[in-house]
Formats: sequence, structure tokens, C-alpha cells
Amino acid sequence: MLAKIEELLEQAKLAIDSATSVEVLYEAKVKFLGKQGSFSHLLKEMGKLTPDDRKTIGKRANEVRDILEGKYAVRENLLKDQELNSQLEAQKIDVTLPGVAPERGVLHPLWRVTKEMCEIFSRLGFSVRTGPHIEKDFYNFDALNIPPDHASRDLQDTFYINDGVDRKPGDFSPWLLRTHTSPVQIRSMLTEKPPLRIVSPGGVYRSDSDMSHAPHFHQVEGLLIDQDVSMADLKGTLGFFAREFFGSEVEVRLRPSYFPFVEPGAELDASCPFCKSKGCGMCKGSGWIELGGCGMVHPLVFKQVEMEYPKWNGFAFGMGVDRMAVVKYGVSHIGLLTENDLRFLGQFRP
Amino acid sequence: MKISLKWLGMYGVDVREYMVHPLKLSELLTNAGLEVEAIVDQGQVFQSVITGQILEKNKHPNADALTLCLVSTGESQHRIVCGAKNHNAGDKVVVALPGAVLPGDFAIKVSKIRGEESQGMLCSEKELGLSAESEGIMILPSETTVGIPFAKWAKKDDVILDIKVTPNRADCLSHFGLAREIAGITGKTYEFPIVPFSEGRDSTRKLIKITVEEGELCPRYAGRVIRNVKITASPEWIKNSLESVGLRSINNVVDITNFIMMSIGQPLHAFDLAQLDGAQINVRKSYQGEKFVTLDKQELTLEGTELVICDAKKPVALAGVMGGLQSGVTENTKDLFVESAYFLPSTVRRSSRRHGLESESSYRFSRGVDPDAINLALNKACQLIAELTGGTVCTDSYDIYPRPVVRPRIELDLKFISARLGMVIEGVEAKRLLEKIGCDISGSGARILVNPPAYRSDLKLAEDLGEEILRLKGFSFIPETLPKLSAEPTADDLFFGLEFLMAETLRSFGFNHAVNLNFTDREFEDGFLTAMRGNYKELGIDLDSKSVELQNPLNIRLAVMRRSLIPSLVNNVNHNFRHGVAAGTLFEIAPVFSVKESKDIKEQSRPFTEMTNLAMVIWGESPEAWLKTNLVPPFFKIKGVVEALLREWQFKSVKFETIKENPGFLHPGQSARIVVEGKPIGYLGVLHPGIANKFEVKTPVALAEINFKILMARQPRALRSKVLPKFPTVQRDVALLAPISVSSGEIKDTLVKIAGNLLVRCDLFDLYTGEKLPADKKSLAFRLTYQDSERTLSDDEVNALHQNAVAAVSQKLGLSLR
Repeated sequence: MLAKIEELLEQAKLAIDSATSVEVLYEAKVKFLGKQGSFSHLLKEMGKLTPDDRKTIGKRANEVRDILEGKYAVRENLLKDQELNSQLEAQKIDVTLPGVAPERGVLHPLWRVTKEMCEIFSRLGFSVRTGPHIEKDFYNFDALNIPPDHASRDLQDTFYINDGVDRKPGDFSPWLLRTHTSPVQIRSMLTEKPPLRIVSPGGVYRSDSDMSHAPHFHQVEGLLIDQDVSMADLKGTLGFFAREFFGSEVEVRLRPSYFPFVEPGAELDASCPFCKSKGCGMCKGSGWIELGGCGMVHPLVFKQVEMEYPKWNGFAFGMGVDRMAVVKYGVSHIGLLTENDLRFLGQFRP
Repeated sequence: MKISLKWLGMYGVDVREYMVHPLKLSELLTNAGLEVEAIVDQGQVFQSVITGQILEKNKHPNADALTLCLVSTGESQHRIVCGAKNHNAGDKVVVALPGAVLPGDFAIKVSKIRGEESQGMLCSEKELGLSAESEGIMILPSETTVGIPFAKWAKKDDVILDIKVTPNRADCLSHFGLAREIAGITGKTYEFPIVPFSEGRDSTRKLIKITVEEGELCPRYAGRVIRNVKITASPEWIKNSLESVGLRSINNVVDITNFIMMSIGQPLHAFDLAQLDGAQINVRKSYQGEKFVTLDKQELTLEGTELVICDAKKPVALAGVMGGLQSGVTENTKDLFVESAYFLPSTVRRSSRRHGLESESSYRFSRGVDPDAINLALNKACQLIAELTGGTVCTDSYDIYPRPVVRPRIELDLKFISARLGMVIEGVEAKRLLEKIGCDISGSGARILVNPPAYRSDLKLAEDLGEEILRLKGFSFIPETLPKLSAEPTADDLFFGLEFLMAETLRSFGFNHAVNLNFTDREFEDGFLTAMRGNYKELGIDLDSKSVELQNPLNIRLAVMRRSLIPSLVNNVNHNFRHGVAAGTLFEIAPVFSVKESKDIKEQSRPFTEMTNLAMVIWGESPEAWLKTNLVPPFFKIKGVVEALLREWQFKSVKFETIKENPGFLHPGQSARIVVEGKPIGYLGVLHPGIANKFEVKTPVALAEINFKILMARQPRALRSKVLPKFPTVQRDVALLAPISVSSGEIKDTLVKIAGNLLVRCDLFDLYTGEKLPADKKSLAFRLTYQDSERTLSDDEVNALHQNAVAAVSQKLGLSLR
């Protein structure tokens, strides 16, 4: 009996060790250890044995079953690992094939700049106002102290809108494309109560296109109306803006200029952020970059909007967004800004 | 305006330093608000070009047509090869030495010509830029000194500044005016030299009668007759002066009037007295329909509003703008009437614009000339004309000036000005600065009275004087302070933020942001939008109305405002595709414009519609095309984006409906209108192949356009959190066999409607057409999800509900279970 057990052990060991797949291994398990297997048959014959023999043989039989089950488990793990490995091997891919990327678009540099400008002024308490692009001459000119038949209208070459009325040459319709976003400020002065702190971003139009000016471009203008406002406050506000926008080392300067709706009127320059004022192509060697115009709101503007002056007083400024984008990002020519070439737009990330 | 520094020097300003260092003057002026845009140093242009003499003229050993000359430039000698034939030994010539750069960027170097070294060049007039054509080299007079800079010899040693004079500074539109300004800024002196002239015995008042009917429009009119003039060419100095500032020489009299205009800023006009009918001048308004032929031979039809200078019969000048052809000075002119007047700026500007005539004269009048300089200019003209034409100046002159311009008296409160400028200005300083520019000051302390000079008509208010004080003191003195916050900041305009948020949403979907010009070409846009007309009314986007048209477009390509953003975006697709961007996405958020439909446009308070649209385009195949599993037809790409976008913004009821009358630019079988909460807000679809062909679009394009304002008006603004359902969901699938003509949306909508509230989702998960089905049938499989928020649904309950719904829908739409 004992010899039979030992023989069975040897046979089962061989079967387990030689199994090359989980299936074959399982067959071996059934054959030797299953309910109908050789081992079970052998144990059924145990009844015929003497109690003493039964004790020793039974002990050995249990040992052999434990050995085999242990062996089986080890073999099973090994085979399963092998199978998984060969499966994984079969699933091997060319890791150099391109990935499937989520797409992320870009915000146009003009909007990017507009947003950044508005956010900087927002930190000083300015909020955004917008208005129509087709304006009436009152809001674009008259209210801004640019009367009809005055030479100051020549400062801004204006696109007029055909309103269906027959006109002689030199006569223009009262409807026009706004030449600046200042009419938005006029609308605010007419409808809101001072104090006011507003910036008005948006498209503007002028009929003097050349290499550096598109006929449709973009502005951010600002207006502050309060009691006790000074030219020094204007310079401080724009200084803060320029340093936030271009970098802390930038300085601003004001130069006298003329805009009918401000007095004093000034051009705003910032020290060239490209060459640190040493002189380069961007600043045409001057060390200064022109950013826009500004000044103290003209008394006649207060008169036009019927706001009490000099109780209320204020400053206004205007900057070209296209120009700011050109300076900030070193855009080589303004045409790029409206071509919408993805090779260009793709540079403005993240 | 061009300013010659030599000319400037005639008025007592020491320009010697500025001639050497023009940047110094340029900075001075720019910091005073007169921006210098360009500096031309004529001496620089002719650097290394000097006078010389040919010592020997020999044949070139290797070329018959060339000569080899030995040329002296005083201290040194040069061997120069020359191709001209008009020179001889002993001739004085112009030598360009190595280092010279002649006009046209022609750099002179030592070079070998047919084997002989040439150490420079003998120049022709053409090569020196002095004339358009010339034969041979320039031979100078024999008395010419050898070895002096050519610029000096040719008196081309001036420095010209181009100054941007702002419209308020009419007083700086002349050399004298600018000299006065420089003197003011620098605190130095200036003068206008008065040269006396002799008068004859004749009387202006006897030779011509002058009436000013329109005293309002012509506050001052002066003039004088000069007899027996001889019209010839001008002397060189006048020619040179005029040329240096860009004016052409005509004849001595016209040149003198121009010279005085550029000197003093007062435009003058000289009439041929013999041509003035009735020997009279009347300053009046034109008659409607009256004809007038200008000096440059244009016939104008006057409108009854222009100010004209007339003789007994007809207009002889459009006041301040241009003289007439007939009364102009010709070589036969003997007697002159010279006019010096002050016309109202607005009247001159109006006439000039009405007739599209701009002249140096109208430019100055429309900015305002100095009413006090009328006689100064007239007298200077008389003196020069007498001197240069041999004419005799009449003994008297007209000066019709019934109501002299009153100089304003401005009360200046220094406390007010100091507060405005943000720095303290004392009375003493204000007085000192304002006196520099010719103001008369009375009083002292914190309140002074200021009389600005007549030529500074821009100084009217205390604020104007504040700017003058600041300008003369220096803008650099302004300190930087921050305005105090005196009230709570207000909210931004809603739509500004919404547009940026929408742009960010689209950006997160992989869309790239475009900005196009808002102008377009009418033919292009019409050709695109209405090529094959459809009914656009049901789209929620107004493509039917007329374009807003510019009265004065730059060119035909930019003549109208966009009605739709799609045509420009398709242009952008073409641009990208041609530049190798085979696939991509773009979106734009921008205003669109149209004319409001109304019989009489004038009745409308605002005859134009201005909307904001959002448009998107997708072109080409995505980079993952190599995987082949992901090839989504263009229609579903764009629809997916629109769906995702509307979901992101939490719109509730969203429908895509077949467009009954399809717009011509959309694929009729692959387009839909978008309906949000029962309101059409736009369209989407695939570009019509016919349009793609017409506009040479070589890649498949799917597009969508949405009326952003109408859409956003429906957006649920406040975010609200809801309790999540606690009870489980139950799913049932159904496959339905449907006629091809029944749409998926219709089946889904009907299922949702019939199943009621317990059906929480209904998703299509399979669609089949093909061999296994009849050609007019399709199979659709839906997964229906049921849930009750109050309790757990039982299987029986769901089964009953599901079967009832499926049966009812099948019966209603003619479907069968599959």
C-alpha cells in the first residue's frame, strides 16, 4: 500500500512538472487529486487495512496530498505567469507611434492682450464698459469737443456709413464707424453717476491704413472721473499699468500733444522693454515706445455731457491693443494679427 | 510740415548749433509737443563728394570708350576711370570719393575697371540726384574752388526737419512761427526783419473797389495793387528755399506769395488786376449752381454756401482754398492785386472738403491764421514784389477789419492749476513761463490775469494755460501718484465677460481663436451667402438683410461690414490649407452688421442692427486619422462641438432641426438649424460642395454660426446645486426597425414624451442600414434608463412602462421591434 502511494506520488510529481499549460496541469490535478482520481481510489482501499497500518499509511497519504497540492499551486502560478507574459508579449505595441492628444486651442493674441490690460486696470478699480461700433457723430466727435468743420476732425480719418440719404461730396452721414472707444466713455458719463472708473476695450476703425496701421484695429481706453484728480494721478496710473504689463523696470514719460477732448494732452511713452532703452528696431533707436495718448478731460466734454465741472474732474487715456501686442510679443508685422494662420496663433500658449 | 534750418535762421534764432546737431533741436521741439518725424541733413547726403579739377585726361589702355583721368581735389590726386565724353583736362568737376553714397544707395568704392584701378567717380547731375536725365558729367564753372564739399558749393548744406504740427498749433505752420516758438521755449529772442519799400503815386482805392458782404465769414480783408510788374522766373534763393520745403517754383510773383506763406504762415493770393471785371472785388457767398474754374483747370459747380472772392461778374477765387484760372498771374500780367485776408477756419474747411480741394493755403486757413499778421504779410509781399519784379507799389491799401479780434483775458487761479497738474505752480513761475510765449500778465500771487497773444488762438481757458505752463516747465516734472478710491468698483459689462468665457470654453474644446477685419467685399460675401438662395428667416441669424455699406471705403475689398463671420473664416481655412495646415479649427466672436428692414431708413432712430455672432469651422482630418477608428464625419464633429458647448453652458432644451429651405452655402443633406428653448439661434452643417468649388476650398469644411446675443439671453446664470438621486436606475434596451424617412430625433423625442418622467435618459447606441435590411429600412437601438427619485422601481413596473412606451411609439411612427 505504502509502495503504491509512493509510486503515485512519483507519477503525479512527473505529471505536474511536465504540464506545459494550465489546462494540462488541471487535467493532471483531476487525474490524481480529483474525486474520481487515483489518489481517492487508493484511499478508499484504506478500510481494508489494520488500524495500525491505517494510522501510518493515512499519515503518509495526507503528507503526499499536501506535497502534491503545494506542488500544483506552485506549478499553476508559474504557468499562469508564463501565459500572462506571452499574452503581454503579444500585445506589445510600437511605442513610437503618435499618441491621441486632447486638443487645446489658443486665445487670439489681441484678446489675450485686451484681457491682460483690462485685468491690470481692474486691480485699480476700473471696470469694463462696451458700446456699439456704429456710432452717431455726436458720441464720436461733438461730445468730445471735435466740432463739425473743425480741423481736429482731420486727426482721425473716419469711415462714414451710407444711411441711404443722397449726399454731396464732402458731406457725410451722421453715422460712422467709431474711430476710438471714447464714445463708450461719453455714454457712461451720460448714463452713470460719478465717480467713474471705466475701461472700454473694442474694435475701432480709421481710414488711414498703411504698413503699421490696419483700417480696423483695437483699443483699450480708460476714464476716471472723481473729485480732486490730477495729471500726477494719471501718470501714476499709467506707470503702474506699464510696469505690470511690460515688467517692473519700465519707466513712463509723458510728452505734450494734442487731443481735443483733453487738456493738458499728452503722448504716453514707455522705456523700451526690448533693449532696456539702449535703442533697437522696436523703438527705432529712441529707447522709448509710444503707447498711446492721454490727458485731463477737457472742460468742454463735461459741458457736453452736462456733468458739473470742476466739482467733477478726471483723466482719460487710450492705447492701441494691436500696437501693445506687437511690442509685447515682438510680432513682426500687423498683417499677421488678422491672417489667422494657425502656425502664428499656435505660438500664443498656454 | 517741412522746416529749413537756414530759413529759420532768418528770424533771429541762432541755428548754428542745430545745423551741426539737429537732434538737439528735434528733442527740444518733440518735448514741447511738436513732434519731429524726420531729419534730412543735406550735407550728409553728399558726404565725400567734393569739387575737383581734371589734371590729365588719358586714354584707357584697355578700352577705347573710357578715359583715365588724373584728378586733383586740392590736397590729393586720384586716378579715376570715366566713361563720359564731355570732359577735358582743366575742367572743374564733381568727384565722388570712396565712402560716398550717392542717391539710390550707390556706394562708391575703389574698383578695377578693365584692369585699371579707379579711385572714385566723376559725377553727372543724374548721379547726384539733381536732375532726372543728364548727358555727360557735370562740368563746374572755371572759377570753382577745388577741394570744397560739393554740398557747400551747391548750397545743399541745409538741414530739413519734418514736423508734425497738431491742429491746435496753427501758429507753428511757418518758419517765423516756429522761430518764435523756439525762442519761447529757450527763452531767447526772435525778430521779423522789416525791409522798407518805396511807394508809387497810384492809389489802390482808385484802381479797385472792395466790398466784404460776408463780414462774419471774412473778418479781415486787406489788399494792395502793385503796377507794372514783370513776370519772370524767381531768383535762385527763392527757388532753393521753396524746393527745400517741398514746393515747386512757378514764377516770381506766385513764388513770393508762397515764400511769405511759408515764412509767416499767412497765405496770400495775387490776382491779375486786368482780369478782374469791373475792377472790383466782392467777398460773398456763392450762388447755387454758379460755375468756377480753378487754377488747376477744374470746373466746380458751387452750392450757395461757399465763401467766394468775386469780381463784378463772377467768382475769381474760392476763398482761402484756390484762385481762379482766368484771374491768375500769367507772363502777360502787368498789374497785380495782392490779397491778404483772415477767413473763418470752418468756412474754408467746408469748401475744401466739399470740392475735394486741399492746398497749403486751405490747410492754414482751416487751422486759423494770425489776424494780426495780415499786414505784415502784405507789406512783405509788396517789398519783395517791388524788388524782384520791378513793380511799383500803390500808395495806399485796403484793410477791411470792422470788428477786430479781441484777445481773451483769462483769469488764472494757480491753486486750481496746481491741483489739476498734481504739482505746485507759484504765481511767479507761471508769470515767467507764460511771458516767454508772449502772454501779457497782470496781477500777481495766486490769481493772475493772462492775455495770450493773438496768434495763440488755442489759448482760451485757464486749463489751456495750465497745459502751457506744464509744457514750458517740462512734462517730466509731473510726479507719479495714484488716485484715491472713493467709491466701490462696479461690475464689468456682462457681455464682455461672457465673450471671454465662451472663448475659453471653445479653447478647451481645441478651437483656435480668430480675429478678422470686420470689413468685407460685398460681391464676395453675397456670392458666398446667397449664391443659391434659400430662406434664411428660420435660422435665428439675419443673412437676408442688406449689408451696411461704407460711404468712403478704402477699397472695394473693404467696402461693407460683415453680415456673417463664416465667409471670412472659410477664407482663413483656405489661407491655412495653402500654407500646409491640412487640418484645423477656428472660431471667432465678433460683431455683425445689417441694415434694418424699413421702407424709410430715416425714420429709424438707429437704422442698423449690430449683433454679436459666434462662428466655428473645422477642416481636414484630425491627426489621429492613422488610427482609422476615429474617423468622425465632419457633420458630427461640428454637431458634437455645438452640443458640448450648449451642455457646458447648461442650456436645457436643445434641438437640431432639418432646415426646410436650406441656405445655399450649406450641404442640403448635412445641415441643421439649432433651436434652444424653442428659439432658433443659428445653424450648422457641411459647406456646400458647389460653394467649396467656387471659392477653391480644397478640404472638407464643417461650420456653425450662432447668434451669441440671442443665445446668451437664454443662459441660466445662477448655478444651483441639486440633491443627487438615491434610488437605483434600471436599463432596458430596444431595437426598432424604422422607415428611412423617420428621423432618429423624432423616435427619441416620441419615446421620451410617451415614457414620461420616470425615463431619465434615452441614448442611441446602434444604427444599422445595409444588406440584412430592406433598402428603405434602418435599425436603431436605444438604451432607456428609468429612475424614480422617491423609491426603487420594481422590474415588473419598469417592464410594463417600457413595453407600453415602445408599443405606442412603434404604432405612432410605423416602427416594428427587431
